[in-house]
Amino acid sequence: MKGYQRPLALLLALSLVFVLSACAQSGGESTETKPESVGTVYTASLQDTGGSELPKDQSFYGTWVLSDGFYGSIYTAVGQTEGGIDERGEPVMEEVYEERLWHMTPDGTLRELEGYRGFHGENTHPDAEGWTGLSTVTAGAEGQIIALVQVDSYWSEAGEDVEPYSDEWFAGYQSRHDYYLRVFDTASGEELENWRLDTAALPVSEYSDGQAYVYDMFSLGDGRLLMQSDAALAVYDLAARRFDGVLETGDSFWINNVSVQSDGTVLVSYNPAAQEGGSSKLSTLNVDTMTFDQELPFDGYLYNSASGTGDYLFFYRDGNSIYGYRRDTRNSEKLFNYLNLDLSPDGVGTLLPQEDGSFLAVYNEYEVLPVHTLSTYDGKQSAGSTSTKLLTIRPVPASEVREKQHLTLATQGLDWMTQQAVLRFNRSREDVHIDVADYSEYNNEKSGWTAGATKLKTEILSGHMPDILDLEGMPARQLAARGLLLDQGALLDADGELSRGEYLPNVLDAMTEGEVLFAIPASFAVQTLVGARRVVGDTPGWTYTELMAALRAMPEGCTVLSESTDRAEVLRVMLGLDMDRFVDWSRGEVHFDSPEFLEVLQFTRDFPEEFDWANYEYTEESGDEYRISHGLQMLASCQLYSFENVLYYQQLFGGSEDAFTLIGYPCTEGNGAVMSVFQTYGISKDCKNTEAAWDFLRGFLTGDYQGSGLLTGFPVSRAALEEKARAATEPQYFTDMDGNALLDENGEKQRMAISSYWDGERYREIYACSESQVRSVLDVLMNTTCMMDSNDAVYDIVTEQAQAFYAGQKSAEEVARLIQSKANIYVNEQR
Amino acid sequence: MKKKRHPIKHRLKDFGLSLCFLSPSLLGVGVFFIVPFAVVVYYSLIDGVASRHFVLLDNFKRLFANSAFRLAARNTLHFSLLAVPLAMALALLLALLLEARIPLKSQFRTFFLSPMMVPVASVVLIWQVLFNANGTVNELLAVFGVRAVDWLQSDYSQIVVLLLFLWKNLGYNMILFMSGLANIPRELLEVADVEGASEWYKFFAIKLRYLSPTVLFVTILSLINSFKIFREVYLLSGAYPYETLYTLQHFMNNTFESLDYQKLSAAAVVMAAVMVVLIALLFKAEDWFGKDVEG
Repeated sequence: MKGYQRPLALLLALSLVFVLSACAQSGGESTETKPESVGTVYTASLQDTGGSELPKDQSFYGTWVLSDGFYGSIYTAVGQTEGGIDERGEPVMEEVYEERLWHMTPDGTLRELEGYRGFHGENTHPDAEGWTGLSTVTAGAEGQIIALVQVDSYWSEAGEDVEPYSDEWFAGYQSRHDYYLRVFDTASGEELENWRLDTAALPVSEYSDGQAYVYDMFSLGDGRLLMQSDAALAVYDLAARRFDGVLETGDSFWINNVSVQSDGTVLVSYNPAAQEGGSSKLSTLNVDTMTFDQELPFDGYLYNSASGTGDYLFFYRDGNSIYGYRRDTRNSEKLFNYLNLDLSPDGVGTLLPQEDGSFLAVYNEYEVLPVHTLSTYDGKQSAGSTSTKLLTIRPVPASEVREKQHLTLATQGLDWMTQQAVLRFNRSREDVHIDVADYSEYNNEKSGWTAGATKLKTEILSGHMPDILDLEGMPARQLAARGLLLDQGALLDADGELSRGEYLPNVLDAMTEGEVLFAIPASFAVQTLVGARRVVGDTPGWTYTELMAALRAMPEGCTVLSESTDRAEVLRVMLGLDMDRFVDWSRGEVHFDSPEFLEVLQFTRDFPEEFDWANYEYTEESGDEYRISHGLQMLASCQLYSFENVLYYQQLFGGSEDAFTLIGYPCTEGNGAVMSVFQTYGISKDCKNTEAAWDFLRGFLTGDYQGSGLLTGFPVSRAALEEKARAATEPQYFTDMDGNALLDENGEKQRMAISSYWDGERYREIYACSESQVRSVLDVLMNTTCMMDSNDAVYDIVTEQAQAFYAGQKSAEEVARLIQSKANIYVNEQR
Repeated sequence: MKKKRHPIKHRLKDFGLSLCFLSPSLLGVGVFFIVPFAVVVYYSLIDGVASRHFVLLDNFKRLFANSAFRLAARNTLHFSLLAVPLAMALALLLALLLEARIPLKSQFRTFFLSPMMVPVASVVLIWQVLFNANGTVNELLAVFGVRAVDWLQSDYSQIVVLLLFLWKNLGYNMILFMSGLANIPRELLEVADVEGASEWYKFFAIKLRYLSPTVLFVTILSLINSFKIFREVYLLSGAYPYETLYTLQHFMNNTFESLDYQKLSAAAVVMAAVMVVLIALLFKAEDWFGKDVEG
């Protein structure tokens, strides 16, 4: 080799190595979460507000954030007025509320802008009534506060002697809405001036009533405002009091959100091809030309955004987490999660970022019943009160934060009750902290709406099993079968206060895989079918043959269920009901070539493939009530979430309390009902602290929680269920504001009707469930063994092959043979 | 005086320099092939991602006891035994034909090569239109009074996939054989002609021997491509095709979906081992068969 060639070749090889090692750097388009900087964590602190006291039972939410703090409206009681006459002929006094504008400074001082009061706009009509409301607030160029107020008014041209709200009155009905800009002095709160906003220059949406609706307003800092209406973005010159530039968006071009940064940069999240299913973009807006300038790579919608500080162009909220969008890399970084800072996400208002990297916000939190944990929580309960505080979130060195053991709870979206449970647990334990990892934050238009679920499953697959796993939408049985989930039955048996016998055995059995009770749901609901007792008999559970016999006895043209019940729904339920019969997982045998499965195919064939909801118009004749009463429909689908749900079927099937039977879907065994479960959480076999994880989860099973009335569906606790059943047989009464029962003319308590039925002559009211109704529901609840999570893979195989039968291309036997072959492969793969 | 070069030092220096040049490729192969395969082997020897206890061959025992795996292995072997020899024989035949003086040789060559350029999804679409229960082929058969066949959901499905495989791969194999044929020394064939050798003798004694490296290469390539037929079958029939189309790749794909990583890894290791043995045998066969013609 010549003298220079060898070093040159070596240099090239080294450059190639360096380029390869840099390949992992991501492009600007991805949204990534980055762990907090090593050694820095965020902490939250709350302080009481100062200054003026808020009106009684009112909260301040700090809806609008400006550089000098938070602004929000509060409806304040200003007096009383007669609202009508009660049954005793006495006037009913009602509170009169007026909207007030309040301000909280960054140090937490509250005050009311007293100049805001008593504004009703110009007189649109002498008889006009209506409503005035504050839409938004922004800052003027000289430090004033500018409020956008909407005034809605309505009247009738029908004439003075027409009775208000009669048909004739409505024939002459007119309405309009106007917008006013009101300018206040920041220091004194006095109004300086106001004028009506002329929206004639704004384009009108084809879906509106001929007037533009102005949603939002932002100060550009130079004497102009940027306004967002339902069909445009427009620049408004405050001095000239007119719109200068308009960007018409129309109805296919959607604006998701607008954010104006402290340096005047305008960011707009929009979807330019919404009607064609296009995806959203984020761009800067040139307010002088009203065109989009620079598109920024961004996968979100810019919800709850705040002006950026330091390295970040802007901040925004996604789910319960706050992200910062970096100026340099054009990537998003997750900064913190509210739950993990022991804050109720619903209680945090819009953030006011500070230059030192901290954030201020208004915080309100409800104290919610019931008490949830057995640990050191002080047990105080309050009936739904809130308190407004100033929240400060700041970055601190990790060494300043107390060391706690962190358990991860992975979820794809926590319900509110569980969020509250996490908060209570974390606040009550000094040694352990549950960190919520919400994988729904990975879902967006670009990566897809199941990206989070896929990521979670992949992490489990690669060995990163979270300590506690929300089993909603997860292959719980497979995880249990792989030995990844702890047997909570053993934990329950070892619990000194709770015992297995307290809970419904059929629910526990449904949550057992092999010998492993992989989760204990807090509550459950049941889906079944309901029919008239004289048609279907009085015992739940029947076969396909019995159903067809009953159908043949109905009038010609009678269908099994409502016209909107589609095949997929029925097939899924019926497969789920008889899955144990068609699939023997332990032996690896399938029986889809059995006569019972052929019956399923025959039964589901008569249902429509899908219902044309797009062209559906409800008429009385299309409803279940009409169709059942006229013999056009034999059964109704029934979703049981409470005992009172059955009262609807009393109404539907003719009025008598025993007029119907919860007959169920046709199946070979059982009562034909399927259950859905709620709040199911698994504990990892490698959980770092099983005691703490169980301490958290057992809170959903305590008497307080089970009897709280806040559950979705029925409690799994026997005692709570029986109590709920008892309560369902007791009538409810009307009460006054102090909780005292109202009395009728005879001095009897006034009962509250919870349902009604037509007895052929008039409507009869129902005040409570009967004993027999409650017993029939309890019978179904306690004997339902099938869970509504029929194996997706088997379901997919069946539906795919069954199409040929439904289309008449193949016989049921041919299709059953194919399903048998494919399902056999699937089942044996799992062994 | 000329400086004496130390041979070992020189060799080490050369080796080090070679490593530098090879390092980018080694790094890539290591990161994307060797390390992942090592992880797969590791996973095949443990009982689960949670506990990670070594269970040695338990996963393999479970695998061989699994009827779905046995079915997949049987189908894969069956298809490869059919497809690979057919692909080789037909490609060689076409290469020999195109070697002869026939009209439109260039157009025929383009015709056979063009399937390589068609995207898989388009190919699958065409095959679906042709072989659907209500497809073109059945319509043609109906003209002749033949009853319709559910090509993709019956025992004929392997024939359909075999046709697809041959249609897609013949062109490339043919080109390789044509290139191999072009490298056979003309003098030997002329001498054979002079000596009065028959065409059969020339083919088996001369051409085939000189083609043995090409035959080896085409065999290995066809074997690999016969495994890749999973792609087309998956697009045609989904994750659970008709019994005879269910191959090892289906098994592995499905076990991945159901998080059974141990079974998947064990199957991958078994398949890799079988491939290594097969290819080693093929190399040995080529060594023996082509020994006379290699320098």
